[in-house]
Amino acid sequence: MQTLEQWLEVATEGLCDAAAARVRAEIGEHYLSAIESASREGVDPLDAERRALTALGEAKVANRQYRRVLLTESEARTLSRLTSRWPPVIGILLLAPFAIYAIFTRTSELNFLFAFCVVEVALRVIPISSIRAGWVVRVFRWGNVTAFQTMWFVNMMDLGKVPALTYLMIIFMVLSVVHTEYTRFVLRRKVPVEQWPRLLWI
Amino acid sequence: MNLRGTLPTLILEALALHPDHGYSIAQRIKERSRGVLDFKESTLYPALHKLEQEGRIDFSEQVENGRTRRVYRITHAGRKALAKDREEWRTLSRAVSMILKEA
Repeated sequence: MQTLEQWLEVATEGLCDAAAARVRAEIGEHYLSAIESASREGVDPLDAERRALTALGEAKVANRQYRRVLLTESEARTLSRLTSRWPPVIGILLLAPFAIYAIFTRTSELNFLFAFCVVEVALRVIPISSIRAGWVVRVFRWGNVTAFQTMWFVNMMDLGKVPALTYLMIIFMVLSVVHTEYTRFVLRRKVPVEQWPRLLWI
Repeated sequence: MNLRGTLPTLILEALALHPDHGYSIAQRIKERSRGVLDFKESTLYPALHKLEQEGRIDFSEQVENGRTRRVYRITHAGRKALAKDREEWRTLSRAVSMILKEA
């Protein structure tokens, strides 16, 4: 016969530590309440445990349902990165070659870089009072990122001469935007608005 | 009977009477439907989490017999959502009844 511990192992698989602890606490409490209730009806203790576990249903089904509403390990890691006060290292590393190129060649790319950075900084500090305002800011932000990357591809890398590479870069750009937005969309659904870090708004 | 999609409404209905903890909510839903609406009890908690995220319920922790229990209560937003769900359900129920009478 399956034990409650085995059931919980399956039901909490892939959930972050905090979510798994919450599931363990609430299911553990539910299980004890069910056993108490059955005992009051005069049911044999072993039978009461078996009935309590059966009433919970399939642990795999519970795991699928919990994953839809609670943070998984990877989502918790993403949220922790968004909450971190460290500078966006990856963003700086990606911008560095462009900045070096623009500074040394003293071309118009320097203007694009400057405009991009000003908009990015502005979007990170302007106050956002509602979810709708967050949507507007996100549209601006993705517009800014896309415009900058297009400038980069076309002006600096001269990709117009190699159409296949241009399409590949555009596909990569679109996929990265879709992936980032989808990940944040899932987080926005699972995390209460009052706990959203700044980067989840934009 | 399959409860797909209706469990959140049934939870709100149960909590509209008085605040309660998970196990008791599940038993009340089963009892009030005279056993017709039977469901796997672990499915109750994901539904409670979702309602909590939507601001339709909140909870407080109470210690009973040395055990910590979450007691859930319906919020103002939850009551509004319940009123809307009741109305939609009545409309749907009337429509289905009319069709079934025709058959």
